[in-house]
Amino acid sequence: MDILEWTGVKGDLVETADAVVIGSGCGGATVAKELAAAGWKVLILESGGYYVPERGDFDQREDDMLARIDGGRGLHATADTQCNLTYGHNVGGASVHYWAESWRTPRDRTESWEREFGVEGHSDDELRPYYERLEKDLNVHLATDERLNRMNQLFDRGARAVGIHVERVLQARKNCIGSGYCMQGCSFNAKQSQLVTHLPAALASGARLFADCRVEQVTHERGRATGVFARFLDRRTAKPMGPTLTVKSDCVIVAAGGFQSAAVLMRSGVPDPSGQLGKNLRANPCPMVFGLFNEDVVLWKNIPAGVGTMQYRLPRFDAGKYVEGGYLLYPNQLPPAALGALMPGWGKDHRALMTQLPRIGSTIAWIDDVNSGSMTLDAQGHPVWQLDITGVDDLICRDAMKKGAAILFAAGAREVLLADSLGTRLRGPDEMARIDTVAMGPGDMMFSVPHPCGMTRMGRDPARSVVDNNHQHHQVKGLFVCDPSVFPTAPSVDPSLTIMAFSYVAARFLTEKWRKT
Amino acid sequence: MPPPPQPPAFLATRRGLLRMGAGTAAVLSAGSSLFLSRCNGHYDALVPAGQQPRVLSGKQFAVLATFVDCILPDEPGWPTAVETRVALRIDHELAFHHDQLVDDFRAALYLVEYGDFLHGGFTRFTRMTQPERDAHLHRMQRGWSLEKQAFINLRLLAVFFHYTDERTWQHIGYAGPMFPVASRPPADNRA
Ligand SMILES: Cc1cc2nc3c(=O)[nH]c(=O)nc-3n(C[C@H](O)[C@H](O)[C@H](O)COP(=O)(O)OP(=O)(O)OC[C@H]3O[C@@H](n4cnc5c(N)ncnc54)[C@H](O)[C@@H]3O)c2cc1C
Repeated sequence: MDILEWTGVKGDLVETADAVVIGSGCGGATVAKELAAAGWKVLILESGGYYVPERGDFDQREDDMLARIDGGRGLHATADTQCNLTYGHNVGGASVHYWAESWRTPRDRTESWEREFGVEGHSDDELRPYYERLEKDLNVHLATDERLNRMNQLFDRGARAVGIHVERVLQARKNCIGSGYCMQGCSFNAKQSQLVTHLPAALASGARLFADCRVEQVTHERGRATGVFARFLDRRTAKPMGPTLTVKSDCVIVAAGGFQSAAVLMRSGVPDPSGQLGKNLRANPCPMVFGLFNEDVVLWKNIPAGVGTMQYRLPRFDAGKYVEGGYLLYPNQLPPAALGALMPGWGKDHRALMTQLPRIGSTIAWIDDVNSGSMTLDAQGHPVWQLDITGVDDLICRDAMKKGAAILFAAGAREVLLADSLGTRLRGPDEMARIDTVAMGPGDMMFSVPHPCGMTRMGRDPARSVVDNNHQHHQVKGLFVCDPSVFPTAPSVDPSLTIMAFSYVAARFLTEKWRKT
Repeated sequence: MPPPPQPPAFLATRRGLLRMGAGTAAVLSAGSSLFLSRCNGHYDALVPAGQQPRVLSGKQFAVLATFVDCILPDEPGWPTAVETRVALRIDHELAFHHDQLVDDFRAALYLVEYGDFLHGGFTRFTRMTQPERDAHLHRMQRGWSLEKQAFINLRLLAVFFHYTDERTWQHIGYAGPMFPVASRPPADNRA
């Protein structure tokens, strides 16, 4: 792909475009592809670097790849560090390190978005043709037997033994060899990330892409978008290298991802009469538990989650009291150093666990967070995120850990470790009640949060939402948001397919109606 | 276990190690630079030979190296944390992050070094014996919110950087990447 990278930038640049797209992940790449196909002059700006296997960039090392493709190089966390933010910062965005599970948002959720938040034009029926197209283009299929690693087999066995329904998980892959390095970026271009799907299509239709180019501000005048101002970054230092970019365009599409899009709007001084900008953050915190087995499990081989259970997707309440559920539960995948870092203790105790690393199995859940967090900017303009796992979310996490532990024990684990700093160990299912009391606060346990959404939520009513049902900012015409920031709540499943389907809806409005309005 | 005593007010605010926010970080990092830069030469002896930090001061780096050594003590046959340059790699990693995050990191080191003072003791971490250091870390692990955060985050980084070194892999049953040669990224934190 012909992409301008930092090494090719010689001085300040000024560009014009029919549309400038900020971010090249699922949201940005999809809308860019559609606009370019309709003949628009599209410029995609991506603050992260351009990495491809053909140049040997995907060396499968955890340290290198975290530094290259993770939003905060592994170090971004919420204000109290309880949640570790995992997100994209590279051409192709988080899809380059995602797990490729590809769910449609269930109808009950799109209906609640419509009913409670006034979201229109994004119903299950309206999204269906886009889902179908995406599933075809991304080769979405159920995981096959050969892709199930030992952890998936154990999950299947353990879950069935305790009466939990198990199903195959839909995967966006083509010619996958099961290398096991999905999170480090697929070295074989088998995972159908934006890098190998929508971005090449967008560029083939004439879109241009500048990597290492961080948008500082969206410019706007009298309620209309006028373009963006950006700085090029030196990839060796991750700092601005001097040259700037000014883009003049009356159509600015913010697709900087669920953790960053609201920050771009805030830095740009975009009006926020609803007070909802930077609010309503949800990100699916992931409680994990670990099992010590008497056989090799090897969590870092083959694909992460070929099986899983949807049985607990919706929470169950009895007379207003939480009973169970509110999450998806899967076999976990972690590369060795990350797995080691989550093993508790230090010195000899920790080393003893490290020598057993291949025999450690794990389950992971994404909880459908009920409470929401927020984001503000500090004095230097850096985002400060806040997301507390308290109240019912705390209960949901504990229930997911219990179900995970039950599966691990039923699959043959001799002990289950909770991921707390103190290294709580359960010697058998009869100790499950300890999960009710294990400390999970900041500094006690860390949760990764991979599915951010909500901070520029969509809706009909400008008093309750940031963008309208066409993804356009209520107050600034020509300013659009095309990523999960517009979701009013989390979709209750992995979000990538829905993000892309939403971008199709936005692209259709832009190409068919917007220039005429 | 009885609940721990209440922390001083500035430690009671629930803010992050890596994003503590202006107030707390300012207090701690001011303390961090003051104390860690004024103290005497005993820190020099704690800096691993030939390792020059880029971001941390020599004294901050010495505290980090001592902490890392505690988490990853030498074991015959295993590469040491000095050989895998854990502290140096963490220091190099900080170069890629903004000042506020680096200040928070310094503040976490300050809590490690002077945490004993908060509990009525008078011994700096780097002056403690090995059993005293272990006891100090146990106390941090169970302590006030900021102490726990400092501990959990520093420990995580130490372990991660150690076990991404290929010399450790044979000990943990990891065969390594399918591609034998690591590509050198332009944004490199490898020492
Ligand atoms: C480890 C992991 C596993 C996952 N697994 C799955 C899965 O199996 N299935 C699934 O559906 N989802 C999964 N997800 C989530 C999914 O990958 C993301 O929700 C999705 O890819 C996000 O797309 P996006 O376009 O919203 O944002 P991103 O992909 O984050 O793209 C936003 C881009 O904008 C860029 N950017 C940010 N700020 C600026 C700026 N100021 N200027 C210019 N560019 C900027 C960023 O660098 C980034 O590349 C996973 C996520 C992670 C982290």
